[in-house]
Amino acid sequence: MNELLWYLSRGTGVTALLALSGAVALGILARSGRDVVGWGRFGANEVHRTTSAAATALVAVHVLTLVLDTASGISLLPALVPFTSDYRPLGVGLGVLALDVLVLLGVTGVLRRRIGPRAFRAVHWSAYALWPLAVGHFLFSGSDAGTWWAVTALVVSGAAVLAAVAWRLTDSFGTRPVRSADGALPLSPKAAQR
Amino acid sequence: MTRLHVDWTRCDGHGACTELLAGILEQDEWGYPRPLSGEREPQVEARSARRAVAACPLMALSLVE
Repeated sequence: MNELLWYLSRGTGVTALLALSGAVALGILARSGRDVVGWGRFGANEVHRTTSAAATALVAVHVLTLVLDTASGISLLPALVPFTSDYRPLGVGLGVLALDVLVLLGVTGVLRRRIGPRAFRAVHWSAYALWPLAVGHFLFSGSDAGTWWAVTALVVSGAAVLAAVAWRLTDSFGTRPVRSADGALPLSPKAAQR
Repeated sequence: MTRLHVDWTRCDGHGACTELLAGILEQDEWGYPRPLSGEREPQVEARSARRAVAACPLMALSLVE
């Protein structure tokens, strides 16, 4: 039983990193307000939300299996409170921090209509902290971090997120093209204020 | 049927609603939604309306009546 849980927790750990990176990259693309991928602007948002939900589910299985696995050395307390683990305290601690941020993002995501866009957006900035925490967790406590397949997952994840962030930092990110060519402003009235 | 209200202080013309409610809204030249019927708050079938409200990235849509 412990062996099954151990394999599951490792597998979901690596796939969760992939899903999480996809969610972060897609979130940035959706935030641009442009139809980058060709799914429509509504579609990019929808896939961002679905990918985030999938990543959350994978992380839930990842954490649950580690807690249930009696051989993992991780019980409920070190899984929820950062840096209380005897096993690879730094790596596990970073993972727990990432988990806490993920829970925060999930809750505010579900309640976003109730809390309003201002609070939602303020909290949502923490997604930029979540990703490096998850990568640190992978590097410092990932049992498979040395394998070719886990390294491939990390490289793909890193490329997607870093490319999206790089675009986010350019000036062209905030400017959406207007539809009509003649007499129209180069920017939307609100985009011009940003 | 229900009516769709746009909170213009929140709307930034992302265009999710105009994609979903293509027969009811069109985009103006900046991407902001404009009801094809010319009404301020157009009539929308309830299920599609809820879909559009949930899809708006800036939570600018709500249902009235």
